[in-house]
Amino acid sequence: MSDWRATFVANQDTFVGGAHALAWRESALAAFEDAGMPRPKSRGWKHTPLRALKSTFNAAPVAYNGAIPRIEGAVNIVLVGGVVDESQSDALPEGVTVTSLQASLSMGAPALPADAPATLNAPFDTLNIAFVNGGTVVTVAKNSVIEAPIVLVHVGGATGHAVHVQNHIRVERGAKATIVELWVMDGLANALTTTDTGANAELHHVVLQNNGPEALFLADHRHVLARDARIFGTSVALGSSLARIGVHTRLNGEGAECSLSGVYLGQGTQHHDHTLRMEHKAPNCTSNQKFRGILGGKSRGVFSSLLVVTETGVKADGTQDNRNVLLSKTARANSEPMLEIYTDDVKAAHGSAIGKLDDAALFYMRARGINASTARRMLTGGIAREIIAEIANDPIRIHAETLVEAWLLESVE
Amino acid sequence: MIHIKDLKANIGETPILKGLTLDIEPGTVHAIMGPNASGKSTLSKVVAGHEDYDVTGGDVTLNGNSIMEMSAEERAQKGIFMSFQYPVEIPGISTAYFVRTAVNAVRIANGEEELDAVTFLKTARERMKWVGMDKALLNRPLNVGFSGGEKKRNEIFQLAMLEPQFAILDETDSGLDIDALRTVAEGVNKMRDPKRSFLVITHYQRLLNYLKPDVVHVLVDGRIVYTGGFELVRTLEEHGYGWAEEQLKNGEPVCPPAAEA
Repeated sequence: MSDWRATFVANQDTFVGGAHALAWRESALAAFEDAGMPRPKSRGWKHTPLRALKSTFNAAPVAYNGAIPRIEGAVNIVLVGGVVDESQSDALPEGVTVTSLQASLSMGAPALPADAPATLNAPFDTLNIAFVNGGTVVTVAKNSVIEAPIVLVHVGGATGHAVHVQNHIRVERGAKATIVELWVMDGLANALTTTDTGANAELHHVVLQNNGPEALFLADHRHVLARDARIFGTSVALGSSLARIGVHTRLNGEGAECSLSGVYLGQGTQHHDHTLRMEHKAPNCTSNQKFRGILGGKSRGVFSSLLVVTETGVKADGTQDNRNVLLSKTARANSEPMLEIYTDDVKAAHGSAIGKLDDAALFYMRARGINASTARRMLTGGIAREIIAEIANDPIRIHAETLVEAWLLESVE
Repeated sequence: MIHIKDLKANIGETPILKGLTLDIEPGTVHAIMGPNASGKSTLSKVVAGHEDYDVTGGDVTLNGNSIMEMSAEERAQKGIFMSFQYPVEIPGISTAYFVRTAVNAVRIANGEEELDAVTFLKTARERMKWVGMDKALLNRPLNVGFSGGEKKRNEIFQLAMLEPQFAILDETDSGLDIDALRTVAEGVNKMRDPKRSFLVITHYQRLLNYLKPDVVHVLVDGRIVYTGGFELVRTLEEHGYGWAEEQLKNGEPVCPPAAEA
């Protein structure tokens, strides 16, 4: 019996959804066991060691008494250990509904959007289904333009414990919203996020990952875009000892546009992995990817991104751009932008770089009187700000800047 | 003010400066002219504290104190400024943020209060006018996408903001058209002060016509081989440096041909 099955059996009486849910949970667990843990060098996990995920995790909920970070100027929806805490959450503006996923689990496994792409985090997606204990369904109603950002504040968890969460975001035709995931958890957080952006709708999806230093973070993002839909996704990765974000985007409707950006800041032995697949399935779609790694200590950053243009994805325009700065001799980066193109008439460009801080820039700054450590902090901050600037929403961008500034002060000497 | 004594410096194993001596008094403008690869840019970088150069002998003092053991930032904080021949582009850092950080770093090092944002902006706008620099550039990433002229104006703007005691202008005229050259020179002239001195490194007469240096030096093969007044500029423009190289090769005293009347 696998550790995960033992945990399942020990906790199944407490699962949300009760006996009705056991059948689909059980089949997901069986699928996980069939697949087994990825081996070293397995497809999709080549650069990311999973030793830390092989221990046993407790599935029982843990109490949380810590602080709850809130983003000023935003609508904060607080999830403690994956469970929505209404008493801590702000009132929602008209046009948005957020329902706790828990309520629907007795009715069946959470439904994914039609045409949602497959997971890039297999087999941990099945583990998520088997153990899912919370999350949300967020719906932005047709033609609603929501100015205030909606922040899903994820707190709780504990070392040795696992939380499996799903957030399903639907932005209906013509609507526009900023939905943020703020992660400040401990232990293992295994998260599935789907987004379904309707025709001519616009979603700004920001993930601020500031989990505890021992935390393990698995995020499985799946975006599907209808005709002329737009997604602007930004990932700011600061926390966790191991963080893997797998983002699979399907440009499913003609004229859809997706810009993904991210910055990962590593120190100590942190491992940040962004694995992407951008699928141009419909004609005249545009995609841009811009990711920056700032890696000190013995940390490691992975950017592995496949841009796929299918036979129907004619007149695709796609870019991939990844640059990494190593602040120490022991930091490492893997940068793998890849293209797979099955049609003609495609514009695709990619760039990738791994290097140290620019000596010429450092000397220039010092020659103007700026101390070496301040100069290094400004330069690394400048790289991070290239990405933070992609966040269109003011309160969210300011919060991200604050998180990055604190990291720089602590980590760059 | 600044005294360079028998300065010797290598890049790797190659000697570039071979015993260079230069005395610059407060309030004066000195010019250094010389052929390519004579060591002009090396001199400016060694004085500014670039670590790629290996100083093998000699000394540089500012107001009587040796700067040779100081880091680049300490030298800048003590009042040494170098205008770069090739200013560096830094994405992600705005010109305003950069210049304000530099100004305040220097002020703090000298026990002065930091400039607040409002005072900084007011002063910055005024001094950008001195060098004909578009104030919209304050909010752009430092030098990124700036034209050659804008980059050089930005150098002199920073000089005006940092108010150094001693400024080296390393080929500030390269890449400037006539109008830009005049504006930049006017900016430098505004900064002239009985307590401040300048060392202008250039190939050309044009910039010097505007700056009117008090002393002109000829640098050949890592040494100052001749020193004269402003009239030397015209001689060099007419006759180049071949005569000096020739006389040095023959072991003759270096003596420039007379300029045509």
